[in-house]
Amino acid sequence: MRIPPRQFKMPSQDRGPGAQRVLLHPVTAAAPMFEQHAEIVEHREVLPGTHLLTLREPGIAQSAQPGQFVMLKTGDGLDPLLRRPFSICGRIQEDAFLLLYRVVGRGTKVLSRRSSGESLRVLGPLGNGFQHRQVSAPLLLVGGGIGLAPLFFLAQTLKQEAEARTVRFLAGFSNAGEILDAGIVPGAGGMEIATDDGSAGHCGPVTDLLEARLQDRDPPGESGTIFACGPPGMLKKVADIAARAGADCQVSLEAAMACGLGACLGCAIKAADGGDAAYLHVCREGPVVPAGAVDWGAV
Amino acid sequence: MSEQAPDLRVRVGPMELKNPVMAASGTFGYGQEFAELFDPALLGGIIVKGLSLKPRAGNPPPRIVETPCGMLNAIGLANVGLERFLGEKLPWLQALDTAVVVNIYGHSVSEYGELAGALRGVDGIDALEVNISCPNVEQGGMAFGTDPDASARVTEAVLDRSDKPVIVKLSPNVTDIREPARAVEQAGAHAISLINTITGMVVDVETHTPMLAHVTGGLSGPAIRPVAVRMVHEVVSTVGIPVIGGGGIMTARDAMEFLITGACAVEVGTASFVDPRATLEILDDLRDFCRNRGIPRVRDVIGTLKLEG
Repeated sequence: MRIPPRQFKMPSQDRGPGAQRVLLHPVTAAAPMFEQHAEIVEHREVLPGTHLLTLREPGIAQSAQPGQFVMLKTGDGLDPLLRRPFSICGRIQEDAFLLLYRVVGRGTKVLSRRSSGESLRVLGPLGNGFQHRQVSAPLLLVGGGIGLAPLFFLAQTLKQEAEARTVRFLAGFSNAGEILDAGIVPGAGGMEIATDDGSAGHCGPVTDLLEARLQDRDPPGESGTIFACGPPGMLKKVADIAARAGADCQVSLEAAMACGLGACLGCAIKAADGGDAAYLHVCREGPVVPAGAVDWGAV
Repeated sequence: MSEQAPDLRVRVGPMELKNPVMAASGTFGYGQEFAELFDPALLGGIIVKGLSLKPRAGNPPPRIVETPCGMLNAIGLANVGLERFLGEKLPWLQALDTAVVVNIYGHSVSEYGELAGALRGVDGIDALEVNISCPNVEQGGMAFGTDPDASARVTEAVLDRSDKPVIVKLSPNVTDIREPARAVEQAGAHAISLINTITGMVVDVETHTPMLAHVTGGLSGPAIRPVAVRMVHEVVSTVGIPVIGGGGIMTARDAMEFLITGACAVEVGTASFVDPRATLEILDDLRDFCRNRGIPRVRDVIGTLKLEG
């Protein structure tokens, strides 16, 4: 059964404990939300242990904004019980979307065994995406490993919208063998690569590339906007670099969550001092939040 | 077999519900979170997130971890507090044509009473559910629920100040659930609900640390259902007041187990996380279950458990 699209009420004063007066960016999408069976169109292992899943669900594909996520039931039974949150990684034509994931636990292991033609229950699109319109150039996309997933979607969207501002896509990996080819998401290409061991691209963390780009901002005089997703340590460093460089920074957060709807309150992240709320909820105030809203000392 | 839709109405003490399926506290927000996906007014009732006098931020993360056929949570009763509940949440709930139950929590016996007093005379609240069973707070909560005398004192304090039916939600973390059940009945509770979550713990074998920042949490989900059914059986065999049963209900058949055992309504909780429309699907399937078996009134099923001897 298709759920009739409705306006998805986004974070505001009415969304729950302490949600008010936190300086969160305005909502990207007043998108409808769907709870559907989505058919697996394609499911392949792009790197050992990393899989790309194409799901056909036109409602989600059409309304999703970069940075938003879906809750996916990985199996049919009671174990694993909960759905898993996955950032949307890209759009394929008008009726399908991509998810990129690494097998890290029971849920992703069960998911990795599902094959084309099967269907999965999916809820989404959920949460707040990247705010990429009306922000300062250059647009600097900074990702590490599997955290590149929402940035691929952002890069794809910027390309589709024929973004006129300077866009730089900086991607960090542990080594050359772990590099995720941006070609898996149509139109998301053009990454500058850093690897921890120097086996490809710049030798060092991706934050080195970010610092270089911020020193040599294009166009000059603009503060720039950073869009980041990756391991907590990387995000913390990106937030620090952004603050020092006076660049706006939006980070996509991750947390274990049960519902994705703001009901369980499980996905809490310590908020920066000064706001009214002690915690941000990744599903409701995030997953994309301004870096300044997070208490990085607690990460 | 009649073509007529089965009569799903049930009575919980002074409260009449349009059907026995209620959304459990802490799993359904303030109802509005789910209104995008279905009309919560179709349910028998909504029990809102545990409310305290002052807003509560909740526990540090990680707050949840999945377990086999279940989950462990230590949210810590994060909630907007009385003032914002009345100003921002209740008006929407008041407009719903279903029973609205406010789950209340206090640090002390007097705080429970104060909260009950503050909700006295407030329209659109059909009952209070007294939470003496939250395992994830440092003060109050389960400390009352595991002590029959304290359970009775909290119940009395709420009844003293309230003009609404009072349901007391019991903790399963006791040796004999019949003791607090008897105590709150004697204190005058109109009904009992059970079970709250069962305390549990999960350890990360890589880091040798607990998976939850709060160390322990409350176990919910289908893993706990047999424990819940057993406890409902013990309580309905002991007290005369109505019992609302719950714990791991995922399907209409699960709900039927509780009704047959003697619960006059059910609370569906964790299932709403797995499938946000679970409560509605359980209700629809319950209606079909009754229709397919020629059960004209669901209330006729309540307490029909057959025991040998």
